[in-house]
Amino acid sequence: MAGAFLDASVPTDNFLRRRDARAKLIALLAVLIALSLSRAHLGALLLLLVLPLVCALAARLPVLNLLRRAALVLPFCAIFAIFAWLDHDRNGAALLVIRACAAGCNAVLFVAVTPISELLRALEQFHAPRFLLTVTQLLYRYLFVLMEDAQQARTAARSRGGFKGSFGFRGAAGALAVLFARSHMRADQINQAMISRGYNGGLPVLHPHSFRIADAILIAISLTLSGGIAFAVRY
Amino acid sequence: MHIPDGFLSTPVWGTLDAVAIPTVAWISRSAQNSFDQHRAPLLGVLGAFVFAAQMINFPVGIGTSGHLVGGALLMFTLGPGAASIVMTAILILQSLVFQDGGVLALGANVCNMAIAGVFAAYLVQRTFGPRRLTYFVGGAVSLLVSAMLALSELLLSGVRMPRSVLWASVALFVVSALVEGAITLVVMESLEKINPGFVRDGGRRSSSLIPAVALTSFVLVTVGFLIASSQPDGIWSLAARVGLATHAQATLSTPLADYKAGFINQPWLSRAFAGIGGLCLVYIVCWAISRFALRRNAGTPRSA
Repeated sequence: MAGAFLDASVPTDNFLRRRDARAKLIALLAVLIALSLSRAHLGALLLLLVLPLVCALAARLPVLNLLRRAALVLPFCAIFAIFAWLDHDRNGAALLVIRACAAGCNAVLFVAVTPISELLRALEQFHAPRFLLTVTQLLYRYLFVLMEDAQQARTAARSRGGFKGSFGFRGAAGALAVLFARSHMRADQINQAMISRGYNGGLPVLHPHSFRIADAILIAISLTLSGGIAFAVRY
Repeated sequence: MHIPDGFLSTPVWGTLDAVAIPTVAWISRSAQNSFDQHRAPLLGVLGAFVFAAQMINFPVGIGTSGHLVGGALLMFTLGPGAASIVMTAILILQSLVFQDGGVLALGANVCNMAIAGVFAAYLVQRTFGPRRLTYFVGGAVSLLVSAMLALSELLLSGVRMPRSVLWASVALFVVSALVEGAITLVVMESLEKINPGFVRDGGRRSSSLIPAVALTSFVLVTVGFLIASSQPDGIWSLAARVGLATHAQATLSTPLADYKAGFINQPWLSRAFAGIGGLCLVYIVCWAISRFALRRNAGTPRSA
């Protein structure tokens, strides 16, 4: 199944993967805040761009894949960078691209070493609304199933000539409505199956991480580094 | 419309995160109370549906196609609270798994799409009731409010954009909004044919005037300052010409004087903050007066 791809890409035997998700989340937020506070300082931005790449190398993660995923932000920031360039602000254009890429690399590294179930568990421990987290987890679980349904609907439509001509718009709407009805039916079935297995409104994690000294060290390093960068660019 | 990290300035993302966190917590609690918790799978699967629905492209002419964004469609089928929660869940996954939108900018994206976009569609539904026009206008207004808020936040953060490009962006958003409205309309019509039970009627309509005024105020206060003139009004212009303006003195200094939040340096952010703050204050004062009046009326015995 296509859905297995994202979880399969997360390695299970490196020092970052073994850290508690809460520590990694705090470290990510600290780095991103430092990035936001040093938005006009090239040196600080380059350091925060290189840092996740070094961590990825140390954790034996595929750096090229990480860069490829982080580059998803490029089309959006390229538009604004071009405006700044045309406005004779070449420095601003470069800073914008580096800033967006650095933020993307840090976020991708975090996702690559943190399975979504552990992330949602960490958010629950930070008192995020449980109902929202349950919906998010179920959404993630059935996302790829429904995407395959949509893919099949699209393939079926293409085999009949696609959504073209005067019927095209209504045809596509009909396909979406059928997908909605199927999703609704599937949700009812999932609900009944979950209740029959003892579902009480929450989804338990089978092997939760415990918070260790190494997690505290990770937080301390990230806060010191981020605080140091923010302090250095200010004074 | 998904703003990545690195674009918004610290005051902008900080403020919007500070607004989004308690608002989502409150909506989540309200939705949990009004929505059977055991039906969480329905919300999760319908969130996945919105993701999947974006794979089906709609032909919109001249060799181009568009796809559903889905905030209004979720609102019309699940209600405002549940729709906000599903949109928030979608934005969390898009930001953390698909790199579509930033982590620090998540609050901004939630405010734009999951709160303001859904709320705009809800106000349209409360104004017009369950009819075809509602679906079209709801879908269009929902997307337009979200897009214009995103644009405003980028401008407030100092992202450079020439005036011609700004207006081209606004025109593009209007076209996208019309496409979203049309898609929402035809999908809702198809859903009504398959099963009318899928569509919520939006509850009892007490008066269409109040939601209409609220919707207009909300749109004006959030995006109106983009097109507002910086010239003084008639009285101030006259006062300046006859030399009276220099003699004007404020007897009381207030934080929102001259429709600006004095403690914010950025001019547009200052005006937007003052606008939203003013709207909230007026609402609270009117609400308090009406509560007081109702309580007094309830306590006064009626003469026979």
